[in-house]
Amino acid sequence: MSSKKWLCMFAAAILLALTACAAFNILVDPFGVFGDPIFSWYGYNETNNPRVAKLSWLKQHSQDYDSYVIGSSSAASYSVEELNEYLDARFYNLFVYGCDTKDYVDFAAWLVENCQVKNLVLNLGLNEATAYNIGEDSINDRMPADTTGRSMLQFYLEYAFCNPRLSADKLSAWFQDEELPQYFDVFEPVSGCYDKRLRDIEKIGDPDVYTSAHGESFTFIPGESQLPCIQECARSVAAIRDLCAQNGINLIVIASPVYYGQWSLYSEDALRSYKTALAEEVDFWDFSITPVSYDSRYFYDATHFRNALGTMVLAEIFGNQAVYRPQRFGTYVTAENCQSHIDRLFSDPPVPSLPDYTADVPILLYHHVVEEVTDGSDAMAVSQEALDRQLRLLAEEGFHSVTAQELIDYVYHGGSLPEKPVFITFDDGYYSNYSLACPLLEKYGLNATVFSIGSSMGHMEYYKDTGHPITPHFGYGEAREMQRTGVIDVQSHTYDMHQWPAYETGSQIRSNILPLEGERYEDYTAAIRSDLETYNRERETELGAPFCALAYPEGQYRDWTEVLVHQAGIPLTLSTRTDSRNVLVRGLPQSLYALCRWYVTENTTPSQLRAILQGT
Amino acid sequence: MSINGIPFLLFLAAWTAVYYLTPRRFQYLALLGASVCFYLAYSVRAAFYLLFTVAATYCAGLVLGRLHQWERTRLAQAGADRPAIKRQGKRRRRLVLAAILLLNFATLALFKYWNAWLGSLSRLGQLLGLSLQFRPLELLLPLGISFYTFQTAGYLIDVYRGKAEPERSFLKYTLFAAWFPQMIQGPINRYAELQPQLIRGSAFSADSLKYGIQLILWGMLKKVFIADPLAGAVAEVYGNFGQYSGAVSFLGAALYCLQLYCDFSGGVDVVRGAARLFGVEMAENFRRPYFARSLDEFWRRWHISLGEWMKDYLFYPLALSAPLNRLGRRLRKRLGARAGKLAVPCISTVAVFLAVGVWQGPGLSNVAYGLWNGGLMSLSMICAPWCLKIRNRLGLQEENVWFRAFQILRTCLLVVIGRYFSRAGSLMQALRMLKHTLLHFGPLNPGVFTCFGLSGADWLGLGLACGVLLAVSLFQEWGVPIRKTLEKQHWLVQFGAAFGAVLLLVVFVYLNSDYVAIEYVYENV
Repeated sequence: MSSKKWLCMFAAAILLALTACAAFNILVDPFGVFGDPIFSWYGYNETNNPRVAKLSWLKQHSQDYDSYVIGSSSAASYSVEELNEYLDARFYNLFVYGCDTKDYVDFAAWLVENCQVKNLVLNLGLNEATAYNIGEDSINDRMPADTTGRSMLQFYLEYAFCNPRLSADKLSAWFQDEELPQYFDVFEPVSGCYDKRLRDIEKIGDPDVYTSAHGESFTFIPGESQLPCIQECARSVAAIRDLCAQNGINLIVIASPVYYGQWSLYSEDALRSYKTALAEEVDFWDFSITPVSYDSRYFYDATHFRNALGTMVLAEIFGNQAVYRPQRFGTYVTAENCQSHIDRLFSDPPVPSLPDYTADVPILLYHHVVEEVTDGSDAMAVSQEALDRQLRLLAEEGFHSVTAQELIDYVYHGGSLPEKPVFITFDDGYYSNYSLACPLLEKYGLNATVFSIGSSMGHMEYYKDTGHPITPHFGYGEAREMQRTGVIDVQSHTYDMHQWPAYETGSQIRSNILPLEGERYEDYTAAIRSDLETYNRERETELGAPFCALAYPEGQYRDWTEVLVHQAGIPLTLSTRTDSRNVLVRGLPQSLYALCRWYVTENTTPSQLRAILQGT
Repeated sequence: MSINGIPFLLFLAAWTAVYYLTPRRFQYLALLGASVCFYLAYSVRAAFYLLFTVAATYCAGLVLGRLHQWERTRLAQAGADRPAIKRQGKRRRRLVLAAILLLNFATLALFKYWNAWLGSLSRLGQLLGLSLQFRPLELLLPLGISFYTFQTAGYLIDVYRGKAEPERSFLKYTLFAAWFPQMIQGPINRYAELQPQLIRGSAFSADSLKYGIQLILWGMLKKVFIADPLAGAVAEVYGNFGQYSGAVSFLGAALYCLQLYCDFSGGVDVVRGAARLFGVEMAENFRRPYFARSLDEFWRRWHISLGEWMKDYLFYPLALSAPLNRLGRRLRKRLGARAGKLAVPCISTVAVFLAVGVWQGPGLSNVAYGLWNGGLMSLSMICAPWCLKIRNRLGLQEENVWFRAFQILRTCLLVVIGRYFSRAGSLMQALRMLKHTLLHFGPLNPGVFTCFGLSGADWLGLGLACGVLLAVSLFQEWGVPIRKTLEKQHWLVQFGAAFGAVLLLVVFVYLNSDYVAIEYVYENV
């Protein structure tokens, strides 16, 4: 080949290499800029750049929505399902992490121009007043060109010739993808929210445990910082207000919950100016400082409040009395009441008292009860006499037993609990719970909850149909009787996920609720759903209501289990862990997750029992 | 302007176009324009420093030329006392040369070593209990100062010796001294070889463009895919050798040898390729040094232009100097013929390698590096007869494959040990690392590779790149002309090679927003 030809060939090689890279980026489309023609994986694209990918999603699905949430990442905690219910709308959460109020205006203008907009929820935190027009330095932060007026050609070229590694990463992630969110796939594309299924199963309660896990995120040194972009923020809000007024859009402005540590960074003057400037432009709901602001458990980190708090905010705005809210939670601020609202906020801050919204609930765990413990007895069995002694101690020390429903009501609806509550539980559903424990409970005016294995209920002699003898289990007849008296409540210990391996013949034996070795998430989901539904079906038929609490067999569970069980609508789960206190927090569903339980056996001494009850 | 970056490539493309569109007799002006623009883009202030050196050496060259002319005129006169005229002429030329070399190298020392020396003096003062505080000079190290200093010094010595005519055109001389490709990585060119190519210009040649592009690609691939990934691993080992076994320290030094070779030779390939685009052939600087069978041969394959410069302008002048010759004669009388014969080359060798060590940078570790190489080469000269005897007794033939492999490995081992000194931050650190290697050699745990900031994929890529480099080097060593062999292949193979190289650079460098260009080790020394 002559040198001239080689030079032509080299030029062709450069062109081809650039074309190949662009084609790869366009087809794999890690930002969703080109409509993600192959994968249509917006959960990934939005994680890379929510600005670009969310608008790209809306271009394809604008007909599915008529209302939008605009804000930065803290707005992710507003549930679109709840908003849809309250406003009879079809919401999309257009929040974007790292957004500023200039972006909000751009988004609002784009929505008005390109979509049907009935409602707009605008969320404002403190960060909105600290920075404005922070730029689009990285390809992960760029705004779509059609919102900013930049050259469309330049915009598309930037993404066509972006780092091919980003496309390769998407391909690689595609093969690692699973049902639950991972670091590369944190968005739920249809709602636009973060997919917090895993994040929200974090067990919360014991403040010491929470502080040791998250303490650094909440460490602040109070200061006198200013909020330099108050005017820009107010101007942006005014622009959105005018836009909504011109187009007949219902605008709801929320000053979102703020963790007190972050609030304390700023000077009183700056905070007053911010609220005043906002109130001059628009009426808004102010949730910035409320009693929950003083408790880090309501926050993922210092600048992001939990979904549960989002639920409380929406319940307050739309007057849903079924949802717990503390006193002085949220104020509707107008230009008229703004000064008095701010004055009260600083002169009489809504500092809460722990006993008003938290409760320490020790949980005791029993199994089989026998008349007398002999050498051949089950190690976990407790004699009638010992049980009597232990229940007497509870009664004498002033403990009041509670039911699962009472715990749930306390957390979800702000219900009350008695002084010194204790939750007494029995696992497996032995007949002895009916024949021996029930009378003793009645004797001391206590109640308990039995977690029965659905497939064993009513089996008095043999394990299922195998002919293998077992300890007798009560049936729904006894359950009905106990429920009627209110002494014993029957909840689930799964239908058939506490199998006895020695008596089973199948290849897939589930001695607990954990996934089988190598089991795929989809199969595990099907197995759990089927088990829960079977138990529920029988219970609803026999006892007239579904169950609300599940004790994990052998106390074992993993993140998949918690996700699926709570997705199935079961608010209360119990493990056999003993590593933290059970501190129930009003408004925080996670304080009912995988609660710890302490075994009480024949040999538990009164002092040991007292230690369990006092959490020492 | 990084020579691997898009701006430099666009700069090259633009000036190549300008060069070939310019009438041939003015082409040197296009090269001068390119060189001036390149240097100004680096720093206007540094350009003034460069101009100072250029002007001073230009004038000195003219003066030396005049002195030659004066001598020739006087000698041509009837009845002239020829020896006296020659002596006088030589003395005057030597005076001028010494003055200008002193100025030249003093300037180099000021920029390169002054602040380091002040630091050393302060530390020495502390050791002696004196509080010596020196304010360091805020100097911008001019780009390529070592290279243009050595190159202009070589020119002056050539003019002094009468081997070269002084350049009378200031513009042409400036082009020789400031020729932009050599500013970053060298090599140190000879006036007699470079200047005619720069001045005469050249017609458009597709061959030159092709060869230039191929050299640039090859150099970049070596730098980007071998030298750069190794830089972090090497820095980790040299910085924290105490956390690893001695074997890892040794491995780090060996990896540094590989990194340095790919970095330096890669950079030189890029600049030689850039020069070739303009039809200029620059001196070869590397010839597969790690295949050398002795340290002496290694230095004939490594940084060849510096070695040649040192040989011509330092080694021979020293070896042939009157004082050393007198010393040689004296030693011959006292210690015998062999000792007397060896003394002069040994002393000259040590002196040359001391200079090489100092050229690398300030600090005692570089002095030690020079002594290590110079000392070992002197030692090998002294021991050569005994080694030959042992070899003959063992019946080892020069061409025996295993003996050759042994010699290559032995040379590599000595080079690796030398690199303990040249890479370490100080002499003490180098000695501590060497001691750690010897006393805590230990096993090489494979898990250690994960500590170097390189993923499994990085190591795989590195391994593949090293494999290609080794294969190419082996073929070249066996005399296979790689480029010619490739040219004979089907066009699809040639296209595949070009496309592969371009694609690699596009994907991993030019579109890779995470790519961090690592400065060449000898950039701006």
